[in-house]
Formats: sequence, structure tokens, C-alpha cells
Amino acid sequence: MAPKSTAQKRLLKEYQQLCKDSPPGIIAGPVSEDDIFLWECLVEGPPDTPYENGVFPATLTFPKDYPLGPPVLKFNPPLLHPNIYADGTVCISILHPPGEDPNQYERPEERWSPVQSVEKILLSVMSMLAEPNCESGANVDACKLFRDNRQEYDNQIRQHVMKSLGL
Amino acid sequence: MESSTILFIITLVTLFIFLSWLITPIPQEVPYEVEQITSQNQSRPVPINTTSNSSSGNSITSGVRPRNTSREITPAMIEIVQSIGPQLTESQIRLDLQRSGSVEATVNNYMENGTLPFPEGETAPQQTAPTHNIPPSTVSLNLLEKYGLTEDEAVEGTPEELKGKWGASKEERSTFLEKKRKEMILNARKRLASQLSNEKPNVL
Repeated sequence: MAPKSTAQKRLLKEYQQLCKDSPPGIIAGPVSEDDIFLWECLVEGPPDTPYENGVFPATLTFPKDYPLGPPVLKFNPPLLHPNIYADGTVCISILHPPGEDPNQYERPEERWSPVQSVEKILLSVMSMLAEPNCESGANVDACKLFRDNRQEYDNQIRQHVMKSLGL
Repeated sequence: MESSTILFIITLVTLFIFLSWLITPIPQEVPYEVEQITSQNQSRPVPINTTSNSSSGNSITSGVRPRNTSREITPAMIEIVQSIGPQLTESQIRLDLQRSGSVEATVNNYMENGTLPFPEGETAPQQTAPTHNIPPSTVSLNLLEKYGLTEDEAVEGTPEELKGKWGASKEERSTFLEKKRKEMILNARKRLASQLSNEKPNVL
């Protein structure tokens, strides 16, 4: 077997930890252990939100210099949410490269750093689903809908959840 | 005492000769060599900080070569301009610095025109437009289809058994993962179905 890089070792360790002690509502692991840089995750929608009862698949793509650089999290199929781009890519502070925010909006400790982990990312995503942040919106249309027509927003997400579970 | 005076005078004379040798202008062939070196370097202008330059710098700038070729473009200068215009390429900045000769003039050029001319044969790099807002065309929304589940499929193996388990081989681990995924989807489906059936009587 080829010698493993730091990134591969770290990812395998995180995979093992997630298997042994996974937080509720989260399943994550590599699509195939032959390519440990591509993970598939399932995130449950938090209760008491329109995402409730939903299960949302997402892919995590890790850079080769992980854990120095953050992975990219992409919902597939895309999900209607103010902080998710129309192609499904999630935009939250923990996934932003380390260092100072050029816009002085995020504190450095909120951003990616090697002390973060897949588990923390997915937990952040769950709280993001529960509390959309329209101040740094990625999807302007979803932002508008969330702000101006909450009923329609909730409705569209429920439709999405029902369709995804075949009901 | 005679000899020490003589020694003192000799020392003075040698010191004078040595100093005057240091002060005399460098013979003609040395600047010529330097010029050869610099003309080789002109294709990629770099600061000429060779040892011969430091001692003969005066003779170079005093008219042996035309004024504008003696401009040094240091990485620091390029960096300053780039910090003001991040989308400028290094070759753009270098070209304009060569023409203008100073960071201030180049920055002014950039401020006036919004950009700097490109060197010959070079064009603007392709702008990588954010592709985030183009949704992918064909993605199956249905999770049951995606994970190959049938509607009333039961999860084999008790879920509790799977919890916290780390398979011995990678095949085993991926089977565990697969089972956990199925379990989560089917459970969510059950919950949603019961919620919907609870809601329906209220609507009717």
C-alpha cells in the first residue's frame, strides 16, 4: 500500500471517529476508501424548521493540503436556503479559508483552521439550516423569499422534502 | 629612534598609495564588462546588484548607458502596484514600471485608465466567473432512487448493532455506511408519512 499523506491519515481518523461516535442526524464517510478526498454526507433537517424530516445528501471535497485548507461542501441536489448557492455549494464561515476576513465580517476563529473537523462542519450546517443568515446571503432569491414571503419559502422546502422521500 | 621614524614614514606612504589606488576611477574595461552583463539581463530586468556594480555604480549612471534602461524593477515595486490593482498581472505591471520608472507614475496610470496595457502577445486572463449560481441540470431529487431503495424496504440488521462500529475491512465499512444511510432515509420517510397522515384529518 502506498504511503499515506498527512491529509489521508487525518481523513481516515476523522472517518473512524465519525463511525464510532457520530452526532445524531449526521452520516458521513468517503464514497470509496480508494479516494478518501471525496465524501458523501447525509444531513437530517433540524426539527421545528421547514427542513424537518428531510434528509439532505451532500458531497464534501477535500483539498490535498487538508486540514490546512477547508473542504467544499455541496448539497446534491441543491437545496433552497439563503446560505446555499443555486448549485448547492454551502457558504458558511467555517468553510472559508483561514485568516482575516477581507470584509472584517467574520472573526478569524469562526473560519476554517486545522482544529475544525468534518463533524464541526456538519454541525454548523445543521445550525445553518435552522437559522439562515441573510446578512451574508449566497442565494439572493432564497434570501428574498425567506425575508418577504416566509410561507412560500417554507412551502417550497416542504415540497422538496416530500419529493425527495417519494411522498 | 631613526628606524621607527623611517618605519612610520614608510607606513604613511604605503597607506597613501593604497588609498589613492582605491579612489582612482576604475579602468575602462570594467564598465564595459558590466554593460555586457546588464545587456544580457535586459530581457528580464532584475536589480543589478552584482559586486562590480556596487563599486562602479557611479560610472554606470553617469551616461554610459541610456537613462531608461538603468531602471530597476524590484519585486517589491511590483508588489506595491499589485496590492492596489490585484487583477493586474505581473507582466503588465513590469511593462508599465519600465516605461514610467516609478511606482507613483504606474499607480497614477492605473488609476486614470482603470487598467494597464498588456505586453505584446499577451491578453487578459480568462475571468473565472463564479459558477455558483448555475444549478446543475439533471439531478434526481428522489433519494429512494438515488440510493436504490424500495418504498417498504426494511433495514437488515438492527440499527443499534451498527452504532459505533468500525468495520475491519474497507468493504465492511462501506457496507455499514450504506446501511446507516438507508436507515436514516427510511426513518425520515416514516416520520414524514406519519406526520402527513396526522395533518390530513385536520385539513379534511
